[in-house]
Amino acid sequence: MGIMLSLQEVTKIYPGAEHIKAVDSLSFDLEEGEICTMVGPSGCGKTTAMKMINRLIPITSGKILIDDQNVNRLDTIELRRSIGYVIQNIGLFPNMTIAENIATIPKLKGWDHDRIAEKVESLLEIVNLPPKEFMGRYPRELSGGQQQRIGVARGMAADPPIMLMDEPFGAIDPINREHLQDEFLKIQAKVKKTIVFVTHDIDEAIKMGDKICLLRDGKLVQFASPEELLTEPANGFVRDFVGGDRTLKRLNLLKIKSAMKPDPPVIMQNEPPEKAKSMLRELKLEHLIVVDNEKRLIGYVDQEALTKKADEVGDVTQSTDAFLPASSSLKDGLSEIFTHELGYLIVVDEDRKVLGTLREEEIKNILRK
Amino acid sequence: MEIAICPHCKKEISEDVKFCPHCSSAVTSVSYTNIFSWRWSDKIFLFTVILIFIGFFQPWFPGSILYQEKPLSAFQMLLNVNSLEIDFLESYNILRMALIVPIFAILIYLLAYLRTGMEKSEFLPIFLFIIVCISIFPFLFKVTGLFFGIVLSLIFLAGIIFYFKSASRKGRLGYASYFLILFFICLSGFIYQLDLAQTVYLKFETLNFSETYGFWVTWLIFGILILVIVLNFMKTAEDFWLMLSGVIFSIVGYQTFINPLFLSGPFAFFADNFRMVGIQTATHIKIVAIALVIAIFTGVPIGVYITRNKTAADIVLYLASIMITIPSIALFGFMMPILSSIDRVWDAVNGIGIGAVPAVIALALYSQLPIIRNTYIAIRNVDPATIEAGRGMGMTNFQLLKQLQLPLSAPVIMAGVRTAVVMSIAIAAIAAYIGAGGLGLFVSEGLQMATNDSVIAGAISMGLLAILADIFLGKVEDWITPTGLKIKR
Repeated sequence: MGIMLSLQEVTKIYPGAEHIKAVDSLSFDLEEGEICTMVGPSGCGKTTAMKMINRLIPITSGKILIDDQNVNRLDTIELRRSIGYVIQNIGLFPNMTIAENIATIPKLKGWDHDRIAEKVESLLEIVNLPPKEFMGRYPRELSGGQQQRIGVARGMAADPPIMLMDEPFGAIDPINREHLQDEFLKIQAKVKKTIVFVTHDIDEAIKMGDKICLLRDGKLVQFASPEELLTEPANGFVRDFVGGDRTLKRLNLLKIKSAMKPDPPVIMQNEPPEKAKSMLRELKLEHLIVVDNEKRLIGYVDQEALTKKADEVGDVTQSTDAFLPASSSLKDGLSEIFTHELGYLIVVDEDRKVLGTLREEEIKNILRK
Repeated sequence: MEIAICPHCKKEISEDVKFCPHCSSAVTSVSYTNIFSWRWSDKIFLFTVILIFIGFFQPWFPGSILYQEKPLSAFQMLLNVNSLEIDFLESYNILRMALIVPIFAILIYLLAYLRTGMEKSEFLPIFLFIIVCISIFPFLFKVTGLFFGIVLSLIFLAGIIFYFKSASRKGRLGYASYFLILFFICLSGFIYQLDLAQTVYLKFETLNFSETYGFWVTWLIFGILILVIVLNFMKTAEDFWLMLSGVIFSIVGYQTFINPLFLSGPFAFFADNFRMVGIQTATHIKIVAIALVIAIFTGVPIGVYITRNKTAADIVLYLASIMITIPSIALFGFMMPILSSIDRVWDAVNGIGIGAVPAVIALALYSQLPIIRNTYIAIRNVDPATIEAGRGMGMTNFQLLKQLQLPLSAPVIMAGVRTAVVMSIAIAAIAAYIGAGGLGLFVSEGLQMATNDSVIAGAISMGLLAILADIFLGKVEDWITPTGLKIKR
């Protein structure tokens, strides 16, 4: 994957305020299919920097290259039509139907009718709104979350390789925002656009970004992956901005898979209880994980259960909820550990096959690294 | 008209059911019968317009000459009003008859307007109550004297109230009575006016079809419409009695309600100068319409332009405000000598007064302020997020204007146009002083000759014109407002 978007020494000085550089020699490269979240305190120039990409704000000096083409050399109108644009207040056109809203850029580009209709339907499906129900409705009939999804669909309408998003989830309540973020990441996994995503919320930036571009007073403070930003903050400002709980934030980023202890001792459900007893004794364990023939999780047994009379381990097995798939975040994992009686978490894959276990010590170890 | 039907089996259901009693499918939203699926006030309006239009060209319709050897339509009379040599009384009577239908149409339209804010079940009693109050009470007082008049009126009122309190009424009765009352009102006015005995016993005997086809065509259309209504909405005997009472009331009501109007001085003046009033109304409309077109085609672009230039906006709005403070008579007088040369050419072409061009230009100038200001404010108030989204998506300035700014500000711009029109109709009255013609002529002449009737007739005509123009432009406003904006959040 090549470099899709490249900012080189981009500077913005507003006329009338010559001593202040709104954006000060900002440089970074973004690869195709990556989301770059631009974050920083208000007035740091993140929105200005983003709007210079589609030249809503003219560049004072420096270069912005899209696919190795200098945007200043391109026709403004054509440039904007080839970049998806989603803004904070959504900005749906209230006089047009949902279908007409989504079809705006394709229409401006002069696509034929059938192609537009096809595109509108497929986009509505991507954002999980049934086309038949929503095409003919007007923006004012929709809830904020639905409008936001239409905004995203509209941004993607002309298959732009690059999308600019200015706090797209800013005006939505926290519960819906989380939901939309998850959905957006799912959509992104399908469409793989190069996205510049402006936000003032560091949590959102960490969650959404493949790269985070942290700005302060127009200057680039750190450009790094979320993991790097949390583990190796460039200076005190980054540390403060990320917050005292940055270690906890890493829990969100890290997956259980990276911390778990693989291949725990297990016992088949059709084996005799005596074998379980001896295993518990030898390994000095309190519980033993019980699986079926295909290594799928059934539950666990402990000393007490084994004192009961039974022919097979399966008869005395207690079922448990203390398991999570390996792709979950460590944060969820930690929460589960504290919730359940087992004291640790059983890690499974999508088929419920036991992959490993996760204990507090393992989380501590990985966070200290 | 608005009988709810099930969207699946198309049978009549009540509006609030969850499941259709006929086909037992779930009903999420009811449909309505589609015989006339419009709003019913529009239907009445259309119905009346068709009726007047047909009637206007037919002999034997209210308004035509019945006492002559050969029946003439109102239209034919208008064409030859001078050569017919009808005396004053006759022309007065003709007009009196010709106005029956429109007057009732206006009355009904106002009632329909009242109806839009009411529940169906509330409206019918109130409507009948009004009819009864206007028609039957004065009659009772006249016949029985004050004391018995009061007693009888109270008994009557109590009867109506108890009737509607006891019976659960259906909205459709209201509609059905409506149409039939309109019909019978026209009919009763017609018969009343014709001197029943003479017409029925003497005239109808000598009629033959070829002379009177207009009469039959008119009433045939009437009849079919009534039949449709009766078959669709009159379901019980109650409906019929309700109808009948409406008819009787309106026949009696005609005498107390409509007749005094026709006997008043301004009406007599109006009847006497019928043709003149028509011509001057046309002139008035012409002046205002031309001024309006000029004002829209200059005001809207100026308003759009000044949204992009703050200094220009200040200057233009300031000038327009100064403009509107100049007294109209001063402006007219000032323009007369400058524009009279153009006016000579204009006059030769159009045959309207010598002051027409100054009047048109002055009105166009006066209309600038409401139109420019409304355009300016409307475009500036379009949500900046919408514009930013449009710009970010690569719309050119012209596309932004055409696809977003103008549609979104259309209702406000149109409101400015409405203000300008109503204002222009009033100011155009002054234009009569500089010889532009128009309805102001009756006012200015009446003042000079101390003829109050002339002044009143002119003033009422202008008032009606302004109201009609406003209603019409209101419809236009509704029509150009994008559907997406009409949805309440």
